[in-house]
Amino acid sequence: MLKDADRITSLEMFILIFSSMNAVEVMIVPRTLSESLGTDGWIALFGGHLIAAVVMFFIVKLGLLFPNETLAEYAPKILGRYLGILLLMVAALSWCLLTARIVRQFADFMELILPQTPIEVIIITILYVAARVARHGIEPIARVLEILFPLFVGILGLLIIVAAFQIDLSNLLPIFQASPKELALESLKTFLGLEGQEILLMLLPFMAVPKNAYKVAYGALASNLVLRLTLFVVTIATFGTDLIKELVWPVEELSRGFPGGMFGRLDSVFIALWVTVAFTSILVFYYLSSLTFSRVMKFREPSMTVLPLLPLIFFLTLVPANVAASEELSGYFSWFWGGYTLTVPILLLVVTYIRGTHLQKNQERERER
Amino acid sequence: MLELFNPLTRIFTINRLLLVVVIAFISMLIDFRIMTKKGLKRESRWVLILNGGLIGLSLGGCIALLIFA
Repeated sequence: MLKDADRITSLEMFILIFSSMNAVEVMIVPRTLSESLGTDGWIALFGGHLIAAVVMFFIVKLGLLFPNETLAEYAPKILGRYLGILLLMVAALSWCLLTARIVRQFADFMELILPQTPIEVIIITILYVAARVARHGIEPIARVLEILFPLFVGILGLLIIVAAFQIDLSNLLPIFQASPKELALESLKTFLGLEGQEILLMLLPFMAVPKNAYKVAYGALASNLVLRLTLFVVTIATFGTDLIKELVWPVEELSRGFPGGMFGRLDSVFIALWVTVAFTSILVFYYLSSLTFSRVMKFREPSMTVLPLLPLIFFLTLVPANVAASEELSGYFSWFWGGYTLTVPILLLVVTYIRGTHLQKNQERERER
Repeated sequence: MLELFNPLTRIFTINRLLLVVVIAFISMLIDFRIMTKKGLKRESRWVLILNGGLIGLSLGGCIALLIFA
């Protein structure tokens, strides 16, 4: 941990990427994959992460060409002011939407256990806490995530151990039943669900050692793959593909089978996990949207855009009428945002090589020396 | 008229808009104080514009709801 330097360590960046990638998807990924591919879902996990690895390469490459600048600074230089700002506004609004989506999924889940609490109260509470932390910049966010990370991993580990007592490996058969077309489509969908991989576009300059960005990014991606693969295998082996399609939160169901009823149901443990996962992701995406807006508006104090964004996110959260509408809208958004993440870094990289924008920057630096 | 705005009236209710007024007012007080303390004139102006705009829009929404809904 680096104190008061507005810089974060490589470990903290690893945790930031890992936590934001695991927003809500990690809880439902066994269901979505088994719905479309049955027991072959694990192949799509590999495919999706492979596409993400390629995209991550372009994101880090682009960031390292402009090591002291965020997307908000180099996009207008590369594409021109108007197109650059347009891309930035799309990114900032998308991060707002992403925050709203996670908050809504969190609130929908919490409503099940707090049925008499108005949804607005749940939403405002978590948003306000996130806003309080986000106002103080990237360092406190990284520290909060650093504290919550062992809790997140520990609880997930506990759920997996609990499930290990009841798995039936024959549920994982048969394999290689899906067609290549289905596998390709699902791999793409898995990639689209990996929101959070793009955070390096804005946060790479905050790293104390930017050279480690490749290691950090690929480390986070590999850990994410291992986690999702483990959860997929464990949930499918426990429930089988037919039953899992009926479960809204399959990972949560894992908590209901501790042998001998020693602890009764572990729902409360799962809720602790849920709060941790949702809060870390909300925090990161909220901060990213406010940082982007403040950089676009050229504010010297980035914290001042945090609170005015709160009402916007609050109302965006309330747009879906119910859980089904929320999932439907979230699917459309994943396609849009995944497309953005897939195309924009590559586009920026190609244009900067054609126009030589990164070389101009280096020449300016040498002249200053 | 009400049917035209039906999806909006589901999202924007008077209670929620009043909640936004309170949040925007508190954030205006906090941020304006911080910005003026730091001597950031442009930023303090923007605090007033952003939060003032939010308060205005929310109160306007409340009045519209009272009239049409």
